[in-house]
Amino acid sequence: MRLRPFALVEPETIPEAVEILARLDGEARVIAGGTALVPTMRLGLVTPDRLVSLHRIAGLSEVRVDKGMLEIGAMTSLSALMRYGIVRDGWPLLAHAAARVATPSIRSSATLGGNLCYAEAASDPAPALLCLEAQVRVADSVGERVVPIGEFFTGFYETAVAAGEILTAVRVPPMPEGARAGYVKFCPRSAEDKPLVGVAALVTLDGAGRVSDIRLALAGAAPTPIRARRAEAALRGETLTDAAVRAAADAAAIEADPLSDLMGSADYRREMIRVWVRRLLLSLR
Amino acid sequence: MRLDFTLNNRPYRLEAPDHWTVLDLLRDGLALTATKYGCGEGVCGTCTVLLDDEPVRACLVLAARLRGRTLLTAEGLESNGAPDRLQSAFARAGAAQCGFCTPGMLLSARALLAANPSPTEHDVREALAGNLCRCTGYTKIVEAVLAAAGPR
Amino acid sequence: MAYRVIGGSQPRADAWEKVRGRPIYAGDLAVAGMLHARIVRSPYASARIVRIDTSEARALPGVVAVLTHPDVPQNALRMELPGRMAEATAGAVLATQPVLAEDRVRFQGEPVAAIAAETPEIAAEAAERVRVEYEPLPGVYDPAEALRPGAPHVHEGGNLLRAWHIRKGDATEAFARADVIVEKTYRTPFVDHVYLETETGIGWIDAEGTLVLRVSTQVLEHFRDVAEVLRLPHGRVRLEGAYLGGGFGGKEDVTVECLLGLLVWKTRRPVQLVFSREESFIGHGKRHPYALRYRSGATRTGELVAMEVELVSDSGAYAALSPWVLLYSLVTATGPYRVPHVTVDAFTVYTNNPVASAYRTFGSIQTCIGYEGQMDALAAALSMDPLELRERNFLRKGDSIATGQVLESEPMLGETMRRAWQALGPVRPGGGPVRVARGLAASFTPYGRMCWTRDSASAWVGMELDGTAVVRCAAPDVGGGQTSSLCSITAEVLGLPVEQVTAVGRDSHFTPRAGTTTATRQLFMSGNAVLKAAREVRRHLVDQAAEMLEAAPEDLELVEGRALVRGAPDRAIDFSALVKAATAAGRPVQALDKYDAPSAPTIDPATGQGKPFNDYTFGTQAVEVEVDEETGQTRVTKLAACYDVGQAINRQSAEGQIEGGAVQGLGHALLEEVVLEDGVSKNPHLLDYKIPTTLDAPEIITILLESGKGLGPFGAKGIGEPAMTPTPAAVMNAVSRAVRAPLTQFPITAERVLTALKGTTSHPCASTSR
Repeated sequence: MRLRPFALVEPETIPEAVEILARLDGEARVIAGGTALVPTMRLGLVTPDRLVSLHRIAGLSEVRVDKGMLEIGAMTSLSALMRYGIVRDGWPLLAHAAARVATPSIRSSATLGGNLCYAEAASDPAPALLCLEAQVRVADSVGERVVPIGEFFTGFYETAVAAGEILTAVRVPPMPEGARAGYVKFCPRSAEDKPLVGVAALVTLDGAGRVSDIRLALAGAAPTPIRARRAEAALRGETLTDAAVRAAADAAAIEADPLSDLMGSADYRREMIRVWVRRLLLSLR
Repeated sequence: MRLDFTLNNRPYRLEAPDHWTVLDLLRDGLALTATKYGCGEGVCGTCTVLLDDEPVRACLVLAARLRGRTLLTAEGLESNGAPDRLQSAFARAGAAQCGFCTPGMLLSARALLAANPSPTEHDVREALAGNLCRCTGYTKIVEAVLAAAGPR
Repeated sequence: MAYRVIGGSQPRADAWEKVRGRPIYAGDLAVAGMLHARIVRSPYASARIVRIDTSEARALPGVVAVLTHPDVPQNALRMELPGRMAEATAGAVLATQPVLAEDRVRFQGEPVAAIAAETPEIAAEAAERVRVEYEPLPGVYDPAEALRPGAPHVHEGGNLLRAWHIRKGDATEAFARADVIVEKTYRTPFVDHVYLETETGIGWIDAEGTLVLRVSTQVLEHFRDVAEVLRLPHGRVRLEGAYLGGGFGGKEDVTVECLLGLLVWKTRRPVQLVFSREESFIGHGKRHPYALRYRSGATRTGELVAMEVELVSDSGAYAALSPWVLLYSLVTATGPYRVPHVTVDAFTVYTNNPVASAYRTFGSIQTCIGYEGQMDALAAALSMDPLELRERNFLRKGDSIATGQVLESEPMLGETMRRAWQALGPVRPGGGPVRVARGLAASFTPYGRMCWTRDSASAWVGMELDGTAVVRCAAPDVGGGQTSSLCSITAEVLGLPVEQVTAVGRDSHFTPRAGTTTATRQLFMSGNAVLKAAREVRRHLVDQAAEMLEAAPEDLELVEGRALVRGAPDRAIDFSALVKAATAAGRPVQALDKYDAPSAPTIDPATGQGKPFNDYTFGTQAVEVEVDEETGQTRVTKLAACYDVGQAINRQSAEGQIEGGAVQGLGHALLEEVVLEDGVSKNPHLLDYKIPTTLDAPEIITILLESGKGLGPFGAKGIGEPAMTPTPAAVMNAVSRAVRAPLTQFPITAERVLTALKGTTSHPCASTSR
């Protein structure tokens, strides 16, 4: 089925892209891999007159480590991201979460920047990046600013990227020394699906086995991906006993504000948050 | 827009409208109909093609993205009219019933075997999880891919 | 019985075309100057059409036609069984379904306008510019509601479309004597076929002025429907059957045929019509939702004494095939068991929900859920092994089913059950939160049409001068090996390698008509027609060879393309020489034959007594499931299926049907539901209507029994639909065991399982959104 006709612009620099987006004639949208945008266009949910494709902009698909920080160009595909040795070795949580998105034919096109900008609550990379306390670079007409990931998701399918701005890169600080991390994606329908809930955790234990640092992030628990702050607070300074883990899981479930949709009810999501937070934390003991 | 790319090992130069996807270009621009329309959402996998050896959804990738790249469709698997190893394995195993999912399956399987020449059954199922089939129940498709891979 | 070709496991001829991605489907052919069609459909489930304004759409450059109901010469889809000429039952309230809606729309997706334009983009834009003013009307969305007095009427004459009944013995009296009675209601939803190829067709007018449509359809006889709509002589419309990318009954009713024919006829240009996936979800008939209320009584030693069944199916807004689907449910309601006293009341009801029609098993899958759920429930109530209970009550040769029809051959049910169960292997323990359990379902499914339809099929078989054979038979190929089977049968009879038999096309004009590829009838019907024709050709070849080899016909064999004298292989002649000689001598080397299925009168409308079908396929599926008791998530880890297929024509194909049917059944069991809100679908997309993937499909073990007692060629039975019948019931029974509570509502989602596990309504998880 054909897409509704649009003009495709393929700028070669960020300033060029931003300038095109700023034009007032008709509706312009950014297209990265198209895996989220194109289906919505095909259904007529969005009807842009102009698509600004970022694929020609040099440097947007680079992945490198700079002073210990992982710099990921926004146009890096999820499959490429998974393949980088530096990502698998240094940020296995992110590599693992990226590897769980959809299927190989989607990951080859889907980009990290596109995934974040689509801002689904049921995103796999988002909880991992929340745990990793990443930052996002956003380019506008005057330059560039940095947005902490915790401030990036502002609402249901909404982000801190304003109209006319472009997400250019994701910066990820090094994982804490000795941290244990994991991501679990729960798909109760078919095996290939968006997560009903997803849980990412990054835990550092001190010499006495107590939690010195904990980051817990959830997909499908709220209108946006979130950090489960109360659950984290419940575990800080505690050892990962069954009781402590259960308390944290309960806190995460209570704190969650999930939606009901075709995949499952809010009550069921809440219960699954309880179950999977518990199971993930126990697996990290 | 003007596109120069390689398709099934041959160079192509085409004009295509901006809003065309790779699927439109293949089926309507080039009358190469092995690549199918099944859903337009990127879920069913019948539009799977290999772009620079990676499986992609032709229904989601804009034709513009082909510039300077290499595309392989199911029509490009055979050489001199002879089916390749995977195609033969599919035919022999009874892995094609209605056959509509078959081109996409073959390309996903090819990508798998290129990256992992000795997959386990689970590896095969995971690699093909993005290619839906309604006729076969997948049993013979998985058998065919394992047969094409050869002994472990 | 040892055959040369029959029963082997060879790749089908069409397999090679398919793995090469050849353009064999309806959408793969483009014609120069072809227009692109788009259908405008109602977004409302129940509304009056106040006004349709097509002026803006027609004014768009590149739009060639925008058609509405006044443009349709006869705006009525025929309500006969597809492909049939004789209509044998009266009393059904069959409302006419228009091709394009006139003053009312009755379901979401009902076609209102048809557009043809120079490009797909223009057609899409034109569709947006067709202005339809609707006045929403109260609708009815539940069959029970629809039957209540005061419910909105979907059509004149009330919402009850059809009722069927069985009265055998005296169930009321028998229940009084039963030691244990189990009563349950099972519910199944609307389910979609989700064939990978959406509804597709292309049409043009040929040199003779014939309207030609190349369509993905299970019924080439739809040429008659198109001709009637256009008020053309039937001979002026030709349907060419492309290979289908799946059918499963969803392409049994008219889909694109009449709309496409209309556009081609009006524009006099070639036109292509392809449904989008969303349109396919909304625009074609679904599987009927059923409420199945069962009451079963047994003695304390496990003999069934009585069953009382009430079936209510949701026909949606139009009749389509609902009365016949209901009939299949009626006949199969009590299962493959001896039940002396039976009361069945079956109703199909109009609502403003999507139209429900044919879908693989045609009403047998829902009843299997009912009767097999009951057997497990009775076993539990009797503290009896569920296999033993079934064994005690299975039909045997000479028993009669609920309609009084006596089974003339041994159903082999006990064997199918034992072997399927044993094939699951040693019991695995669960671990941690994962419970492992097993369940099974025995089943019976008719193959071939209802007896009173006087079904028939024709085929032509002939020899070419090079000694190869050609088969001409208009049997649509839905991917189940229909075409390939005809070649195998011909090859077997004529003693030819199967590669030397070609099946030539499927066409309502040029190939003898074989009827629909539905009702698991094609192997039975066209297979037998080809068998007859091939045998006639064989006789001609043998007679010619007898003359030339100076031997008696009974001493001759046809092997590997040669006729030879048994025991004297040097006295032989190859087919090419034989055929040339026969042709020169004026002896025919081809035959056109017709196979007529045995027929019988309609069953009694009040008691359901009679012979509804010629034969049935019996089989059992057993499954092993893992249920996570904390999440409710269920995985089917193993599935074993054992069927009496009579005689496998191609073993690989028969297995493939069972494997595919089982996984499609698994989807029905765990995943699939068309979610409706006042008749409007909430999930007409693959992102939200999930079907099983490779990772959801279990290890599948198929065991084929071959009684040789089928009515098809070489004693074959049909397997296409029976392959799917027991799967949802088997999964339900396994999960119910795992959860230790009965699950009766489909699909058996993780959330429903968790609710059943928790057991109380006070648990936070008990409130579910569906």
